[in-house]
Amino acid sequence: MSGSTVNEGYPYPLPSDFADVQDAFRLATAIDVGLRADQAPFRAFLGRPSFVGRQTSNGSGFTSGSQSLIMGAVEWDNTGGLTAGAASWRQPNSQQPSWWLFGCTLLVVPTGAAVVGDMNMARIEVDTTDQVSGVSSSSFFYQRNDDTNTGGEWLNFCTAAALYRGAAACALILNGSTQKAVQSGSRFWGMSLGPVT
Amino acid sequence: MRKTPYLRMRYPFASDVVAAPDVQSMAQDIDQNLVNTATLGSTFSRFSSVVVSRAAAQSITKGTLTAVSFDTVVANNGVNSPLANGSWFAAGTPTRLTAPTACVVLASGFLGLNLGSALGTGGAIQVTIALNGATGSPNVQGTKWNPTSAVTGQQWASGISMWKLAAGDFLELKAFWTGTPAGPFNTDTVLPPTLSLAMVALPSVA
Repeated sequence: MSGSTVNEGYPYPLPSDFADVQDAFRLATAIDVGLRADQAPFRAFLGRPSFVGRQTSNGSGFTSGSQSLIMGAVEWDNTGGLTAGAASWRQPNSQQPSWWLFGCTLLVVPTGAAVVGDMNMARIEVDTTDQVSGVSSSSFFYQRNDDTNTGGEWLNFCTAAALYRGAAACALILNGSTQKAVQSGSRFWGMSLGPVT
Repeated sequence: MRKTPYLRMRYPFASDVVAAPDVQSMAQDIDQNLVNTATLGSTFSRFSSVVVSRAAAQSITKGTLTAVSFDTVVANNGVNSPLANGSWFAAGTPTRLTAPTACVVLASGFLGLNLGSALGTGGAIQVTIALNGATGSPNVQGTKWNPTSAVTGQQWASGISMWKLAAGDFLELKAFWTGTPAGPFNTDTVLPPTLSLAMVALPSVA
């Protein structure tokens, strides 16, 4: 026989039945669940899912087309979705559908003389699959800084996207007359902004 | 005694005789977890961040990567944050924002130059966020671009990046430009150079 507290409804033993250990059990587990639930928003914020990956060697030179940023070093990852040497971050199954902020600094290393006006673009690609309908979609985001006489442009931008179950990657896109590549030290990062509800 | 599944609070079980020490143990565990929850609540509302800027013009020499020396602290709540418990900025090292504790930060750098003459077709402006004094790869991030070749006056660039910092690591905002003129050029004073950091995660909570 238990009473229950006014606010949280926690069960507690009554004086007439104080020796019933089941009442202690119910009280302890009810408080346990209640406190854990109260702490959940704080834990979620302080341990915000996020990652930073860095390319560790220069890519091979090319003139036109695309080249992925390869994350040879995992500088930070508490998502479990980043693997050293991978070209993309993959959202783990355990994560709920959520909004993400993705960003990059893509350092461009020229292997020939700079040509003013040669096209340099950074691209962030976000692929996602709706878990209910199964429909997959890809979104592309770009920043363009064309070549200067000095060469070696740096492309930096960020974008927000909703992921239901997906992956994100960064790439360099060129259309020019001299070879360039993704430079060692380029980084791709992301952080969760919160659930999609 | 057994323990609850989440917060591991002790409670008497069926094989026990309910005794005063058992109830005392349970009460102590509940008490401690209430304190932990209150601590989470207080730190949650005071996440550490810092914003510094350069109000006075700073001369930037052509072809020289130059750290911006900050003279204005817009916000610096590291000392008041239980998660950081220390200042990000110190007047004795005015180019640096130093991590008071291990953390992951989102860093945003903004920089303008007041071009007295056009940079020409080979011109470029670079805004750099650098880790621990780095001048090149791998610990620099930012934007390098070329303004329209004939333009003069204020030109701006910005960069955003994320860093995992150990306690004592520092980030700086650095400016670079090149082009036809000999320079030097001053940083913009209308929209001053600014570096801001926001702590977004703690390795200790991962």
